[in-house]
Parts: sequence; C-alpha cells; structure tokens
Amino acid sequence: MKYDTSVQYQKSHEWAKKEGDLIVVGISDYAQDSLGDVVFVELPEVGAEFSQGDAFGVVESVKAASDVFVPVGGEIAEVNSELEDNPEIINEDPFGKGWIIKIKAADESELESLMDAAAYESYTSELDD
Amino acid sequence: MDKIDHHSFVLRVYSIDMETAKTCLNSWHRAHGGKMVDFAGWDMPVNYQSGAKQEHLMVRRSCGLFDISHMGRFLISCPDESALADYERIISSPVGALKPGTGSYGLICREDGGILDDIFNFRLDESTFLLVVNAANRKKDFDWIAGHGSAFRLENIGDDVGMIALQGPKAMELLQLCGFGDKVSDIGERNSISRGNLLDDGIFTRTGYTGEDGVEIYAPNAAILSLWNLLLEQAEARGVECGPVGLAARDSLRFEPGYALYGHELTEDIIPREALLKWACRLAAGDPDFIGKVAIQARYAQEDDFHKLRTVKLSDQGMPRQDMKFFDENGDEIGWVCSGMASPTLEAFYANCYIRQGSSQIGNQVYIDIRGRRKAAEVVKRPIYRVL
Repeated sequence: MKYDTSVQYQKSHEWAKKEGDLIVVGISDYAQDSLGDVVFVELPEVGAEFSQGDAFGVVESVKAASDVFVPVGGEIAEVNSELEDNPEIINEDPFGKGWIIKIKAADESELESLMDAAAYESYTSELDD
Repeated sequence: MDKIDHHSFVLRVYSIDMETAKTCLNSWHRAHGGKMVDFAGWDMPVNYQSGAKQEHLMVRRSCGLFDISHMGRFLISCPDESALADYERIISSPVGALKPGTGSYGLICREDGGILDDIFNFRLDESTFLLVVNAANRKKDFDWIAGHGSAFRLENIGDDVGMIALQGPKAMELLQLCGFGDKVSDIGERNSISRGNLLDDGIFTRTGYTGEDGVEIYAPNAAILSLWNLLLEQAEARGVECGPVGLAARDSLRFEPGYALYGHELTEDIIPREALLKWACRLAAGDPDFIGKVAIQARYAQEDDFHKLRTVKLSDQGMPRQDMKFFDENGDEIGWVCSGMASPTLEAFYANCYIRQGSSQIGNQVYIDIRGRRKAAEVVKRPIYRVL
C-alpha cells in the first residue's frame, strides 16, 4: 500500500495537493484498493462550486458506488477527462495519472485540516482492525 | 408431531454459526492476495491481485478456478417410490424422469409460486440425489425441504465435501493434462456426472455459471486443496493460462450469458413467468405436481401487464444498481434494476431488470434514474454473450 507523502488526506480517502494556483484531488491507494476495479467516474462540470466536504462526483467499482468529497471548497477548474474512457487509471496510478479534479480553492487554509501521510496511514490501519 | 417425524430423517440439522464460515481453501485465498469479504455468512475472496476484470477476461480466454464451497450441498436418499414422490414435489424440474448420471437446473417454489431458490439437482444413482443450492439460502432450503417431505432422507454434506469449479474454453484440456481423462470421458455431455464417490475420490459434473465449458468438482475437504494446487501447478507447467477467480468476476461472468443470481433476478416475490423460467418447471399435462405449480399455471393463464426479465444496454455511461427505477419516455415508472454491470467482454454498461411487458420489446427505449440523472437505455436481446 502506498501512502504518498507529497499529498494530504481526509477521512473519506480523498487526497489533495497544491499545484500552482490549484488544488489537485484524487482518491488514495487505500481507497482504490478497497474499491477494486473502477469502472466509471462521474465527473462534475467545470465551474461548479463546492464547499469543503461536499460530494463532487461518484467513483463506481465492480463492487460499489462511492461518493467522492472535496477536501477543500472552491470552484472546479479542471476535470480529468481521461477517466471517461479509462477509469482504471485510478487503480493503476491513484496519486498521478488517476487524479480526478483540480479546484480553485476559496480558502487554501482549509488544507490545514487534512491529515499528512503518517496520520492517514495510522487512521487506515485502525479501519482494518 | 409431524415436524418430529420429518426431522427423524435428518442426520445433521444445518447449523450456521454466528461467526463467519470459512471454506477449506480460506487460508489459500488469504495467502494468495485474495481480498476477503463477507458473502452470505462466508469469508470469501471478491478478487485477487490482478483484479476482477482480468480474472473475467482470463476465463473467457483460457480458464479459471473458483472456490464455490460456500454453496449448499445436500444428499437426498429416496429408498422407495413414496420418498421419490415426496422429493419430486419440492423440485420444479424433472426428478423421477431424470436419468441417473445427469442433473438439471430447477427451482424450489412456495405454494404461491414465489421462488425460494434456484438449484441444481443431480441424480447420482437410482435412489440418491445431490442438490446444490445457493449459499445465502442453504439454511432456508434445508428447513423447507425437511419440512415438506418425510419419506426421503436429507443430509447436509456441505461441511465435509468441498466444491470447486474450473471454467473456460481450456478447462477440459487442462483436466486431461492433469490425468483426469477417465472422469472427463464420463462427462461428454453437458449436465452429466462422472463416476466416483463423493466421499472418496470425488465426482465431476459438467455444468457452469460462466457461459463457458467447464466442470464442478466435489470432493472431501481434505482432497480439495490438493486438487486446487494440482490444477494450478499443471496449468503453469503445461502453459495453460489459469488462475483463481473471485466473487466479483463470478458475478460478471454469470451476468453476460444471462444466468440469474438469487437475491437479484430471483426473489420470493418473483414467479417463474416473470423470470422467464417456464422451461425449468414441469408444467406439461401429466407431469407430476410440485409445490407452487397450481399458482404458476394460474399466472400463465392471466393476460395482465406483468413484469418481465429484460436486459438493457445503456446509451450513456453509468452504473445501474439494484432497485434503481426505470421510466418510459412519458416519465411513467415501468420497472426496476435487479443487476447492473460494466460488461468486461462487451465493454459497455448493462442492466438486468424487470420491465412491464408493454414496454419490454427489444429495441424499446427506456430511461433509468441513476442518482437523480435520467440515463437512456435500450432493451436488447438476451443473452448478451453466448458461446455454448
């Protein structure tokens, strides 16, 4: 299991990473592994606005549909349209090519409420008990 | 009083522990990357490391191995005609007319025709039947059978005899390579049973739940792990692609060829007419009766706009899930989803559903509500995948 140390995590298993003016968001390796093969990702419209913790889309695997939640509030600046044809890249590269959205954060200080890799790893290890 | 008589023929009453049950291959699954989930009270692998889609495609391309020991297995002994008649009343498909050495798919129905379970019934010899039932229904079925016949003897052998399946176009070749030529030659036809003893060297049956050729193997628990390893080792040594397959791929493999999954396509509220299972019921004049037959026949005589099992292909992307609703172009509700699938073989989204007969013609456009979004779908011909 990979716990990328360059990103921050929230309890619902999304990660966030500052990249220039935007916050890139995806789901963790733990999340993709728990979901199994991802078959469909419902992406939001560019320009849509969300508050921290809002559901912005759905990741569907062979097993279940999971809502995905924004780790920081703001406006959707970009979506990863590559996922429309190849949703499995979330399984293959959850912290890289499998990113889902980029947000123009309304308040970047919301990033401070997220967990670092070590805290998230210890959080997920408790979930497996 | 009746009840006591019935149970005097029951050797071991089915007991299901509160703890999750484990098949004899449980440690193997855990040691080989099986992602374990609770399924019908069993700790089962939903997929292994390569993922469900790769497991699915491997079975379509070559072959795959399934642990299906979680299914229920009962032995029914019918020492005389009255015992056979008692057992025949419980099963919808031919029992007395079944040739020894063969099996048939059938149903167990309630008096009102509601489907309690779908089953496979094998006649091992003149007086002995092997009944294979769904894991989730094994306790319910056992109690129902014990409560509806007193002349036969019912025994749960599921705890002692394991069950695995080898399925795929290369399955029979792999069995030959493993030295099972004799058993393979016994089962030249679909639904046939090999010679052998369930409690000794085991038996093979040639049926399946994937749409591909293949077998189920039943043997004492102690022998199952060696068989499983032998098949995988020989496959590797002889260059036949084969690997373990989990429950997720088992579901998508059964979905494509149109096989029902109890709890989805079939429930106690569904009758055989709706599920297109008339062929699994003895409804011809002169056929021996079975529980539910009168109600089922009455339903066939009615001209109402009943729901029919249909498969639809989504025009848009989206994953249909059980109980999502269908609408026609006027926005009237016309049915519900029982299974949804991203078909790995056909690379599109499909749903099995119950749709009112008036809207169920092939080519008809319907709309499915997926979390508030209406997605267009078309009623297509079943099954969406066929080899056999």
